[in-house]
Parts: sequence; C-alpha cells; structure tokens
Amino acid sequence: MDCKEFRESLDFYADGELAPEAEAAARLHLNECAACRRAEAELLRLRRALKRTVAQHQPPPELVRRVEALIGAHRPHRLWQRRISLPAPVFALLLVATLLVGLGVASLRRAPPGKQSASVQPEQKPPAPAPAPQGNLDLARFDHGERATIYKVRRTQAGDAQ
Amino acid sequence: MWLSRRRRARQFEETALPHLADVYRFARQLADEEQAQDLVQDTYLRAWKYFDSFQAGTNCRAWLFRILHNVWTDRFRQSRLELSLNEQSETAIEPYYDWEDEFMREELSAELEQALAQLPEAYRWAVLLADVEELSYQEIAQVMDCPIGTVMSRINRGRRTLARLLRATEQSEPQAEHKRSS
Repeated sequence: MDCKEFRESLDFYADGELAPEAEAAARLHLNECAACRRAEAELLRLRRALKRTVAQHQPPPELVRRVEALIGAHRPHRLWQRRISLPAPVFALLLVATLLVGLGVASLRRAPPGKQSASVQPEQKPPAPAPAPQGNLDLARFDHGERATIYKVRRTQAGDAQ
Repeated sequence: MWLSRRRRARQFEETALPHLADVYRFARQLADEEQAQDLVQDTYLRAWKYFDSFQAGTNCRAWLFRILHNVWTDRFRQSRLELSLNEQSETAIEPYYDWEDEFMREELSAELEQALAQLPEAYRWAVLLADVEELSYQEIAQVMDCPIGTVMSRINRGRRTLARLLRATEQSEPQAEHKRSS
C-alpha cells in the first residue's frame, strides 16, 4: 500500500471497516510512513475531541424522571393496582342488577313479621303469649335469659292496643 | 399475558433506559435543549410502543438511534428536503492529503461544537454515529436508512468539512489577536 491508497482508505482503517488483508497492508504502510502516521493521529484526535464535546451535555434529571414516568404510565400495574374497566352496557347492567337485589332485600326486611313467618312456615302456630308482667318490670329476670320473652310480650301488647 | 407484559416492561428498563444519556447527548447536537428533550421523550415513547419489534441480542443503542432519526425527520421535515438536495453532490471519497499538519488542539471543544453546528445534518449524523457512538457502517446505514456507500461518503465529507471549519477558526483567531494587539 502506498501513501495515496492509504489516504484514500484512512476512514475505513480508522473505523475498523477494512478487510483483514487490507488492514494488514495499511498497518505495514503506517510503520514505514511518518506523514501517514500523523494523518491517522490527526483523525484520532478529531474523534477524541468529538467525544469530549458531546459528553459535555448531561440529560437533566427531570427528563430522566419524565421518561421513566412515561414508561411507568404505560406499564401494566400489579394485579391489585390494576384498574378494572368495563364496557358501558355491562356496567349499566351490573348497576341495575345490584339495585334490584338491594330493593329485594329491603322489601323482605320491611314485610310484617306475621306475614313473613306465614310464607315460610304456614302451619306454624304463633307462640303462646307469655304471661304479662304484673306491675313494674322485674329487672332481675334479665339475668335468666328472658329478655326475648319480655320483648315479645311488649310487642303483643302493642298489637292488641291497635 | 399479564406476566409477559411485566417482563416486557422490565426488559425495556434494563435494555433501553440505560442509553437515555447517549440519546440525549446526541439529540443535543441536533437541537437546542428544549427540543432535544422533546426528541428524547418522543423517541422513548415510540421505542416503548414498538419494543416488541426489537430483536434481543442486537444493538439496542443503534435501534434507539434509528428511532431518534425517524422522530427527528418527522419533526424537521424541512431538514429532510435539505438532505436530499445535498445528496446529489455526494459522490466519491476525498483522500486525506493534507492531514499531516496538526489542526486539532485538544482544548477545542467550543470551536468544535460550533463547527459541528455548521455541518450539514446528514454529515453530522454520520460523523457522530461513527466517531462518538462507534457504530459500524452497516448499523449507520440502518439508522440513516441509506446505502453503505452513502454512509462512507458522508463520514468522509463530514470529517473533512469539520477539519476545514476548524482550520478556518484557527487561522482567524491569530488574525483577530494580531488586529487587537496592533
């Protein structure tokens, strides 16, 4: 390889793009030619200066955060962090179904106790009313599991009054 | 499905995010700080969107620069027209006959940045991808979407133009000094 050939292929040599035989020939020429060595050194110096110049700029931290957030926003969340999205008709149906169930439960609760028990146990006779307490309530009876009896007695009395 | 999406996100964070600084520095040589930030943001958004098309094991940095090139050409379509006009004058390799005299000073960063800014954008891309990012000619051809022959001539012309601009700066500085002192 002579000086002319070397200067024409200096880019490829410096960039490692020469075929192995051509690269060997170029290296051989460099060993013999001081002027071409200087030309190559100048090209490498330009490359170093370019790297230094470009390296001066650092990405601002807010850009890094912004890009990370961008990816985070598009990344799937963990199962318990995921949003559930439903098509509008499905959502409306679910809402109506929930309302109907809620109304049904509420109407069952409002139904009179007699009617409710009749629908469940039609042949069951109402329990015999407990003897009405005489005079003031005997609070000592609360300790013997008779609270329910007192309640029923009071309800029955209220029903009789109506 | 959900697991594979989680894996994709982690892979992206491990493969693409570490190159953010390189992409930003490169973008800074193409645009001012604000525009460079926008370019980087759009590049990463697009990279995330099309991450499935990235082949694991290949050069992720080159892939990101290709996206940056696409984002940049989409954004600055006028520059694209300018490139196609310059393309016509790109023909042969110009030999380095006058490179044995030293024109590069180690402390030339400011002048070099100025010279880079004056370089036609196609040359700037090619020189930076070769000298700073150290991509192969094949990779540069893929990034810039042009034949390898065009890459070679752009690198060659870019370096020579840079050298001329730097020499001009060097020569004008002593003259300016001389004028100031006289």
